Amino acid sequence: MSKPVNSEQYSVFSKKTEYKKLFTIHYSLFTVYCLLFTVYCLLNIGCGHKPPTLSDTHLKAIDFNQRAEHAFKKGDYKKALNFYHEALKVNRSVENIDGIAINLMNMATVYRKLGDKDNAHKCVDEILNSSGIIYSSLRLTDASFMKALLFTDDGKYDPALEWTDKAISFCKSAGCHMEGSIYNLKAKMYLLNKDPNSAIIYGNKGLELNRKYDDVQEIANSLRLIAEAKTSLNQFEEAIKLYEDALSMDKALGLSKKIAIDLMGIGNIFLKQGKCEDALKYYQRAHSAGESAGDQQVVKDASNMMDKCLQK
Amino acid sequence: MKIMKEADERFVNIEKKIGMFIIIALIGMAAGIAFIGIQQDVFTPKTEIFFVADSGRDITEGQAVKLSGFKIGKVKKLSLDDIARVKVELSINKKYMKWIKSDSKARLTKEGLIGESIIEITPGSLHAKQITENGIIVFEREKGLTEMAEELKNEIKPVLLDIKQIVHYVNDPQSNFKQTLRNLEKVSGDLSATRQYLDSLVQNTEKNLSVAIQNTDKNLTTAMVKVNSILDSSKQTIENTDNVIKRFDKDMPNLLRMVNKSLENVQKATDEIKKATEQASPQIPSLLEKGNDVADSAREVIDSVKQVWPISLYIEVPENKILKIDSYE
Repeated sequence: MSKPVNSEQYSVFSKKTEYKKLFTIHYSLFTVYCLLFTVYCLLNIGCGHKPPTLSDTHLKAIDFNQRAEHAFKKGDYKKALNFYHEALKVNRSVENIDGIAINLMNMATVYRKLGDKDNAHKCVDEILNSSGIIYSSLRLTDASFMKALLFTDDGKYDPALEWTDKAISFCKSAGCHMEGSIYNLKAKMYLLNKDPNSAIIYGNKGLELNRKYDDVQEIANSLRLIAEAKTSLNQFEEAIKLYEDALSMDKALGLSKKIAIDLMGIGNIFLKQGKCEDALKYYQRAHSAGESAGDQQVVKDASNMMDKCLQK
Repeated sequence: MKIMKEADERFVNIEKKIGMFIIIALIGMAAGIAFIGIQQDVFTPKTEIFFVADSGRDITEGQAVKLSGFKIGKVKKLSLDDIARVKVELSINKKYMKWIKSDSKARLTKEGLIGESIIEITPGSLHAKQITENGIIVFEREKGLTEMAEELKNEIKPVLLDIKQIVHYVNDPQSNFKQTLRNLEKVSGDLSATRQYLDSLVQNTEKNLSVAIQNTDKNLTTAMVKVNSILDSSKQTIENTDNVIKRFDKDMPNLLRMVNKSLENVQKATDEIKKATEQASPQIPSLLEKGNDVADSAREVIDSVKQVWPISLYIEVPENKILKIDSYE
């Protein structure tokens, strides 16, 4: 039998129930507020993130740079040079150090394409011999690499090697991904200097680094360089295999000139082995690729080699 | 329930508290309604005026009515009359009625090129009478881009046709103009030949005369014969020249008439072009301005959208790019 509830007991019971209800309501509200606050914070993190805004001057410089790149890709080097010059001027006006270095480097690249080595050297020297502005190690790597390329073009391998070493040193301090390209250039220099064994060593080093950084274009370059070195050492089977690997990569990248060079390389191996018919097929393919790409030098080389084959 | 009331102090005078709460709420609601009413000009005294349009296109009830850029009222009602024209009733704030005169015009226009359509009322002349309640004003619709282009086309087309005809006339080998040119060319060629002939004759005469003087006695007779013959030739030449000049004199007025006619045609065409250009020119700057405004607005919108998360995540920040240097090239 339960006891009858008096008025005092009922009042206490009623208050307890009320407090429980109030606690539940407050607890629910608190949870909802916490959730809303969390959503608010997340929205602030997401929506509040604004992309860095650039000034009109910076945008103008970038616009010139992009127009120049477009002209360069179309093969209009003089127009590209003018645009890079304008981009450089705008970057100088706001002392955008990286912008100055990038456009100087690009101008050097265009001058090299135009065969104006003196001006190319001048552009690069401005980065390397700067007294007032301190350029980043990455840009110094680019400049040293370009210096090495310019000396290689002139057949001056000693200064070229010095600059490749400097480029490697800058690249290491900048933590850049260009080391493989620099080793490739070293391999090329040794190959041109009739030292295929050293070329293979540096080519392999370049190949390893390029694979590490997944730079497909430079991987193909490494393979081609090693193939060329192996050809001169009469290691034909390995060389063909390397050329074929480089060829498939160049095809994937759509580099017509490189495709023609790879095909010429394989043709040369067959010719060295006295297999003129096989060599002729590759020369014809190289001729066709070179002709389509508008590369007169490749077309001329392929034609000469085809004549050689036909005479035998 | 009685037990709870006695035990809980919060329920003491609960009726008064609820009463106060309801009264405050009612006062608040009334104030809110009054505020909205004032904002919406509900309590402002109004006057109704009308205009009649051929079509109700772009006219809607509640559409703003503006005078010199100020909102002075709105479109109250649209209805069709007996001959299917649209009768538009405008509700105008009474205080603005003094500027609406009998020669005021209602014009359907847009705020900006892509803005809302509004009815704009022109203030009218100073001496005209103020319009009264239920008065009617003239309505005109502002020309759209298509209509303006069509009008411009209609004005330019005849001019171009005239120019085409003139060019065709000038190029036609049988036209007066070409014939005139040919005659002029021929006359100038004849004159040149005559001049050369006269020059040579004078030279020969001088030469022969000097020879004749040197050989006076011996060659006098021969020289005289030669001189006579030369003089005959000269006479013949002068006669020829005279004929040419006469022919030239005869042809010249005709030629000048033809040239004048051609010039008149050209002048007429130029005047027509000028007139058409003058008619079109006031609208061109405003069109260009509007076009620029639209382009600027679009760019601002695109720039703003680009900065909105998460779109901003997918938009590449522009930067100076370095050309890839290939180790093999």
